Amino acid sequence: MSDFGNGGKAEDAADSASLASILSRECVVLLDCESKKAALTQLVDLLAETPFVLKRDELLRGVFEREELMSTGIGYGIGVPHVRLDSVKDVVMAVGICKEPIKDYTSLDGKPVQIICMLVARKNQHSQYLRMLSTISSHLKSQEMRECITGANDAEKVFRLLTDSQQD
Amino acid sequence: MHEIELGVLAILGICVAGGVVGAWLFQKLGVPQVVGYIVIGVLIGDTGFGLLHPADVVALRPFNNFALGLIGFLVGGELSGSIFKKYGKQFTAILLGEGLAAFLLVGLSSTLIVYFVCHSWITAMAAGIVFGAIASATDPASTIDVLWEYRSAGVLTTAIIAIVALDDALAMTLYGLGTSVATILTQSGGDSIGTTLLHTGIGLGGSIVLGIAGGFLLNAMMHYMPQTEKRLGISIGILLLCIGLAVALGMDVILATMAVGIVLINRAPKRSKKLFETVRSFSTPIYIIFFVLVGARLSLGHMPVWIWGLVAAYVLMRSIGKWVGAYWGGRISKAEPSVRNYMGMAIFAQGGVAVGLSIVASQNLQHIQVVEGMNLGDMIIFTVTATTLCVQLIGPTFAKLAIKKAGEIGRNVTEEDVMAELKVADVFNTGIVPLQEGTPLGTVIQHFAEQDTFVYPVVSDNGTIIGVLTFDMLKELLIDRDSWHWLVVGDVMQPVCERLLVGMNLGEALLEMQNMQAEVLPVVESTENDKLLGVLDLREARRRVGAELVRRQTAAV
Repeated sequence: MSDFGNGGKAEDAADSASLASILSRECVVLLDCESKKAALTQLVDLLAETPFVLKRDELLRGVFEREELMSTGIGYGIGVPHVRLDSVKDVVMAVGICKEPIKDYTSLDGKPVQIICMLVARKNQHSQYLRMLSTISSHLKSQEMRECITGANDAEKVFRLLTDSQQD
Repeated sequence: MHEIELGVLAILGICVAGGVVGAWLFQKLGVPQVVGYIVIGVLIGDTGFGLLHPADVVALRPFNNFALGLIGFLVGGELSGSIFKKYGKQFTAILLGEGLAAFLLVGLSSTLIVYFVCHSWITAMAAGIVFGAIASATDPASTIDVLWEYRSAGVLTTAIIAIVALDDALAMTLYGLGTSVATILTQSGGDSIGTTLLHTGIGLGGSIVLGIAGGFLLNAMMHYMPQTEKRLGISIGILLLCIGLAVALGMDVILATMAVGIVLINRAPKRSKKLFETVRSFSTPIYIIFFVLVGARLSLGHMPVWIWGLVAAYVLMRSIGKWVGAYWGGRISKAEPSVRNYMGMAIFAQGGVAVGLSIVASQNLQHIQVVEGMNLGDMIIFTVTATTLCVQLIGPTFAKLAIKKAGEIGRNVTEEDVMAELKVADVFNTGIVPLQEGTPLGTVIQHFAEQDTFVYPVVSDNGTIIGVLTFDMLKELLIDRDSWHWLVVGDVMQPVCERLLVGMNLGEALLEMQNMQAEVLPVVESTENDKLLGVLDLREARRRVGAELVRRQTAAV
């Protein structure tokens, strides 16, 4: 459990909608994929290693079923794949920064996606889940922040950018 | 083989279980449940299969007194001072009208019939006076039971309750006078009219004094006992004490406990309202046993044929007397048309008081021979028993008809009654077009803005219900307008595992929703067919139940 540095899993911490409470260093990676499918699969595998995801295949299926309803490419080079499942114990997030922007992501603005924030939650964590989605999108609204993240050359820096800036 | 002796508990079990089954069967036929109880009593009693021996019925007499006492108490609880102030004159006129008309018509007709049989004017007149006095009594128990069963309320209902409550006093006065005259006529050396009247007055006055004392005592005790269970306990205790004392002192049980109820409702109307409700719910099995025993007590074997002629004349003349007398009483006192026209037919029932008076009369008049092998006492017992059966069978049905004609059925309903009668199908919302799980949130927020609906069911591509979306669920996202473009309904809906079936009872459905703390649940056809039919919104359902309650309570005003 400590490997993931996720001590902020308590309900009150999650309620404060801070990314630090749901993101661990191990869940931030630099991706070297060319397709949406490969990128999402890699993030699912990352989350499946956390104690919060009990069934990797169910998560993978859930993520792609959600993508079928409507792409989670929200524009500005950001993808926010998300799903709620019974087999997830708590809200948890994985972040992937693509060295090469993914062109087949199908974003709202048609631009390729470079920052992917995957959020998963338990089915009944309605409020926390929505607050986190909103926090992610508002956090990445800043162009300066996006440029810092995409320009970072290691995962540690991305992790700090996402978690430290929010705490400030 | 030894004959099996049923213990008291087994007898009570037969009474309650059999009575409930009988009531259920008769209710299916649209006949008041009290008739079902009595018929079951007749079937298991001496006249029917003989499961209940007359000795068992006699052994359970204290139980009957308990039931009558409870009825008296609950009737008293309906009689607040304001009702008497408003309708006192009217009630007195109707009471005298129906009581005296029944007394006169039954008295005259039975005098003629008995004379035709025994050819003695004195015996015939003695019998006629006693029959007339007994005929003036009305059974409060079965009449009130019909009013409660059909949740009746209104001017006629109030008048019926008051009349059947006061009827006992009139019947006992007429009976006291009647038996004195009968005894004097038959020269048995009995008391003078004055002495009998004095005894009757002491009996009635004593009952009232006893009841008033009990009422004040109960009111004082309730002051120190706020808990419902303790109040129920102390009220039953004081009622039993009153009943026991009334029986021991030869007073009227119903009048005594009615006085307890009247004191309580007038001294502490708010505090006692809940108590009356609790006692009423507690008393149901006791009523059932009481009515089953009434039926079982009716022994109709070995009756000569001519008695049936007397029975027919008694029932017919008593019914006409009650009806015409109540009509004239109502007319003179300028009662409302519904009271004037339908009061008479609501008070046909004859029960415990009549049977009790006939037993007392039979003891006083058993030395007078009517025909070979039958004395006046036996004749009175036979006739009153048979007429009681007849009027107990027709009385509740006519009482139901009266309150139906007056439009007072169902006006005393509670929220629970309405919910128990309604089904989910009656109140669920079918007009809402379900949202597809892939619908963008922006479109949905537009829906909420343009329509009055605050709840939408969410379905998958194949039409299966998967969740519910309420406006409340979107509050996290209201300030984040950007997310409306990239989130879909499936992201923000509340997934649902529970569904309500369309045929489910509304009360059960709302209780289930309350237990699950669910504001909204989808409604489906059946457990096998998960296709969405609509949604049940807890707030909307409660609003509809409230509106239905008001509609029913005011429908016939």
